[in-house]
Amino acid sequence: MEQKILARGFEAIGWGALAADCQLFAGCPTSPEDEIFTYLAQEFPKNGRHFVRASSEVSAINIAYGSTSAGGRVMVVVASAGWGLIQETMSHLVNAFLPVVVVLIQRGGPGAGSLRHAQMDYLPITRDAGQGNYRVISLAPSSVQETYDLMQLAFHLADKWRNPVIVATDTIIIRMMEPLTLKTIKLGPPLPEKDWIVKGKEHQTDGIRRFISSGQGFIPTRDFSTYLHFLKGLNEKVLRMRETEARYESYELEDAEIVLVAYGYSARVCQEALMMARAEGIKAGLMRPVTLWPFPGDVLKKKALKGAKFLTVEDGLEGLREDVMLAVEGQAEIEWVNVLDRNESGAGGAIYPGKVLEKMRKLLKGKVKVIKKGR
Amino acid sequence: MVEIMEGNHALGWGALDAGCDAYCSYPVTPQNEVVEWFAREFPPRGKIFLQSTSEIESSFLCMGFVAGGARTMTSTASPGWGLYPEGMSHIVAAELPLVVALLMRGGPGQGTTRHSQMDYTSATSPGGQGGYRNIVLAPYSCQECYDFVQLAFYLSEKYRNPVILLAEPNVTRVLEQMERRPLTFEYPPDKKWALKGKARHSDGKSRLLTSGYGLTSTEEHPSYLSYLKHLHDKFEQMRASEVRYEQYEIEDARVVLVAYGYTARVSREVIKQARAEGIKAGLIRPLTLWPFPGEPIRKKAEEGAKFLVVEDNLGEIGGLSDDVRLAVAGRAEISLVTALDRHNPGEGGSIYPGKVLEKLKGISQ
Amino acid sequence: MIKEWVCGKPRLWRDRPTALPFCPGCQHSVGVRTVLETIEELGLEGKTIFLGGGGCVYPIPTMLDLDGMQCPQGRASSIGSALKRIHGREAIIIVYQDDNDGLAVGTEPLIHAALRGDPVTVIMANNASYGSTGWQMAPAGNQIIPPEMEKPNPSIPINIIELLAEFEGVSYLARGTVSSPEDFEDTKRYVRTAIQKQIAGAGFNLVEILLACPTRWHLTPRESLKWIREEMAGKLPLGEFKGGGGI
Repeated sequence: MEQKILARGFEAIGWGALAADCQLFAGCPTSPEDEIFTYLAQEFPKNGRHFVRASSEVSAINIAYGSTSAGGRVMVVVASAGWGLIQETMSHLVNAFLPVVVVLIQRGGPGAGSLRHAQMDYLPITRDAGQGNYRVISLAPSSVQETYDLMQLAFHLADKWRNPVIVATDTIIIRMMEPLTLKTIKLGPPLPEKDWIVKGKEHQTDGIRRFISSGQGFIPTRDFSTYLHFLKGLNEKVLRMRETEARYESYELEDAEIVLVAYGYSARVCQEALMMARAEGIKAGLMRPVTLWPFPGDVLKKKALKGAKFLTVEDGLEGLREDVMLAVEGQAEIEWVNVLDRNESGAGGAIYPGKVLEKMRKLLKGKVKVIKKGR
Repeated sequence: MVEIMEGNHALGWGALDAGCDAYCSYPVTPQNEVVEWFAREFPPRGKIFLQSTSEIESSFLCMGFVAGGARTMTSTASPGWGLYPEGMSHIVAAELPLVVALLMRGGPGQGTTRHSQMDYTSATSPGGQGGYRNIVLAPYSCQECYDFVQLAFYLSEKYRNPVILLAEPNVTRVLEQMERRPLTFEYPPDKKWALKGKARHSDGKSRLLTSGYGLTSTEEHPSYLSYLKHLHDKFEQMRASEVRYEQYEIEDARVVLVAYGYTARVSREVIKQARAEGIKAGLIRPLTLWPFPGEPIRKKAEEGAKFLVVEDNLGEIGGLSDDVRLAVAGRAEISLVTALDRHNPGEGGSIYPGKVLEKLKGISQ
Repeated sequence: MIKEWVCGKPRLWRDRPTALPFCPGCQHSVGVRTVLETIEELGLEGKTIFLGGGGCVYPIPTMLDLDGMQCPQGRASSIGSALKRIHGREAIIIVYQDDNDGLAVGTEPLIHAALRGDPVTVIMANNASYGSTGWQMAPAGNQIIPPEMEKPNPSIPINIIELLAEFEGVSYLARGTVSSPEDFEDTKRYVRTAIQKQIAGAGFNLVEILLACPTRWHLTPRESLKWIREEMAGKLPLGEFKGGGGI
C-alpha cells in the first residue's frame, strides 16, 4: 500500500531501512548524522528492530560485523568524521563475504573539517579505503525519494553480492524536505537463503557447523581452499558487479555538446544550471551517476567519441574528475567545478548554478586549459 | 662502510640518521622486525620508543609527538593500515609531518601473513575523509629503504604532510648490502607551529593546532575556503616538484614494463632475458607512487609503445594499472600481470620472471 | 583570611567568534575557569599546553591564550601522553574532555594513558550529555531519557574514577562540582593538587567535574544544579579518591 508523506532525507533513510526489513542499526552520534541517530532511536524499537548505540564508529562497524554474521540485515550510519575509523572492518567484511549497508553523510574535511555539507570523500568511497584490493558498490541519492528507494536497493545488493554497500549522501540531501511515496520496492532476482550464517550447530539444517573468517588467505574455508582460489573468487565478483550494477540518470544527454557529470546535491544544482544553459541555447546535458562505483563510464565514452566536452561538478577537491578521465580515455576536454568554486568562504558555502553556467560558457568557447596530465 | 642487513633494519638506521626523535607502533606481522629494531636501538640513544595499544592509537600518539615538534615515525602492515585513515586525515588537516612505513601483506581483511602489493590505492588515494593526498615512496632494495626513509622525513617537514613508505616484506626481510651514508637535506629552519608552552616561543605568543579549519578560523587560515585553497595548492606543488622515477633500457623500448617494489626487481630480470631474445623491452619504475610519473609513460605511449603493468595486486580492479591508464589516456594497449599470475596458490605465491616473460612475449608479437 | 571577590573573565580567556558557542546556562566556561585560575596562580601559563576534545568543548582551545590543540574526538589523552613524553617537565599538559568524548570513543586513550602512568592532567567535564549533536545519552547520563528511547543501560553512569583507582600508574583522582562558590573552591583545589602531581612527575591524574547542561537536560539552570546535587552526585560521589590531602 502506498502512502504519500512529506519527509526529510534522514527520515527517508529510516523508512527505507524499515521497508527493506533492516533488523539492526549501530552508530554513534557524530554531526551531521545525529539526526538520523535520534530518529532511529525512536523508530527502530517501535518497529521491533534493534537500535544499538555504539561508543564509536569503529565499535559500530564491528557490532554490524557480528550482527550480519547472525543473518539479519544490518546498517551503520557514519559521517565523514568517523569514516576513517570503519575501514579496517570494511576490509574484513569484504574478505568474509558479509553484507552490511553503510550510510555515509559527507561533511567538510579533512580531519574534523566542518559540520556542513561537502562531497569530499569520493575517492575513499569508490576505491579500497582499507587494506587490500577490493571494491564496494556505492549508491548516491540526490533526492528524498531516491534516498528511500536506494536504501532498499542497497540492502538487496548487499545480500545479493555478500559485500558491503555504501549509500553516500550529504548534509543537504539529508536535511531537505520533499514529498515521499512510501512503497516497498520489489527487487529481483530472488535472493538465495543465507546458509552461511552462524547460529549454533544444532540450529543448522544440515547439522554442520558454519565458520566465518576474514582470514581467507591463510585460512582455508568451505568456499575457498587457497589464497589464490579466494583471490580469483573476489576478482570475479568485483568484475561481475562492475559489469552489471552500474546505474545512472541522464538529462537531455542525446544532443548534448557539453556533458555535466555530478551526483548528490550538486546534481540538483546542475539540473538548474542545465535549464539556464538550454535557455541560452547551449546544448548541455547531465549524466548523474546513481552508482558511484561501478562508475557508469560507457555512456561518457560514447559522448566523448561524438565530440562532447565534459564539466564535472563536485563539492570536493578531487575525485569524480578522475573517473571521468578514466572513462573518456583522453578523447575529450574536461573542465571541472570544485569546492574552490563555492559561492562564499565560510563552511556553509556551496556550489551554485550560476558558477556552473559560467564554466559551461567558458568550456564552449574553448577558453579552458585542457587537462592533459594524469594524476 | 658497506654492511649486510635487512630492509626492516635499514628503515631504522635511516630514521636514526635523519634525526628521528620518536617512534610509535603496534606490532603486526610482517612489520614486527621494524618495531623490534626501534625498541632495541631507540631508548639507549635517548629517543622515544612507544608501543601503542592499537593502530588507531599509534596514529594519534604520533599526532601528539609531531604536535610537540618531534621528528616522528610509525610503521604498520596492511591489517593495521586499515585503522590509520582517521588519524591520517586529522594529521593532514592539522598540517603535521609524519613518516609512515607500510609493509604490504595479502588482503583484504586478515588476508595472509606474506607479501603483496595490494595497498597501492589506499596509500595513493587515501582512505580517510576529505580527499587529501600524501607523497608515497616505493623502495625496492635495502639501500633504498635506508635512503628513502631519510627523504621521507625531509619531504614530510617540507610540506607539513605525512609521507608514506610503501614496501613489501619480501624486499625488507631479505639481507642485502647497504652503505650507511646519511643524506643531507635542507630542512625548513624551525617548527614555529609546534606546541611547547607559549613562553618557549621566540615571540612569546600562543600557538593553536587544529584539524577542524571549517570550524575554527585562525590568522593563517581565516576561512574554510582559504584553507582548502591552501591544501589544494600544496598538493599541486607536490605534483609539480616531487615526481621521481627510474628508467631502465627505455630508449628504444617497444614494450614498457611498469612496476615498483619487488615486481620491479623481477621486471629487470625479465628485461635482461627478453633483450637476450631480441625483444626491445624497458622498465619505468616509479619511485614516487604519488605523485605518479605520468609524463614518461605518456611519452612512450605517444611513441607507440605497448605497456605491461606488473603488480602483485588485482590489477583488473585497480591499483598501479589505473594510474597507467590515466597517463596513457587511451593512446596505447595496456596488459597486466597480476596476483592471479602467482606461481603457487598459497600465501607465499609470488610473481616470477617466467610468467612475466611469457606475457611479454605474448604482447610483443 | 580575607578573600578577594574576583569577577569577570579570567585573563587567559579571550572571546573569539566560533561555530560552536556555549548555550546560556552552560557550565563549561566555569569548569575551564578552575583550570585557568590555577594555572595563573601557579605561574604556569608559559608552560601550559591545553588540549581540548570534540563536541561542545571543541572551541575552548581557540579561546585561550595558551599553546593548545583542538583534538579529534576522544583522542586528547593520547595526544597529551605523547606531548608529555616530548616535553617532559618543560610543559604542563592539560586535557579537557567532556564525557561523550572521554568516556565513549576516548576510553582506549584514557585507560592506557592511566595504565602507562603518563603524568598528564585530565579534566573530565561531565555534563551527562552529547550536547552539540543534539542530546543523545552519554555514558555518564542517567535518568533524563524520554520514555520511548532506548532502555537505559544498567551500568550507566560510568564511574571512571572507580575504574581507574586500581591502576598503579594513577596518582590522583577527584570529583567536584562548580554549583556554588564553595564547590568551585573545592574543585579548584582538586585541580591544583592534580597539576602539582604532574609537576612532581607523580603519574596520571584526573579531576572529574560535574557540570550542568540545562539545554539538553530540559531543566532550568537552578533545576540543573539541583539535579547535579541530588541525582548525579548520588551516583558519582564527590571528593578525593586517590592521592588526596596534597602530594
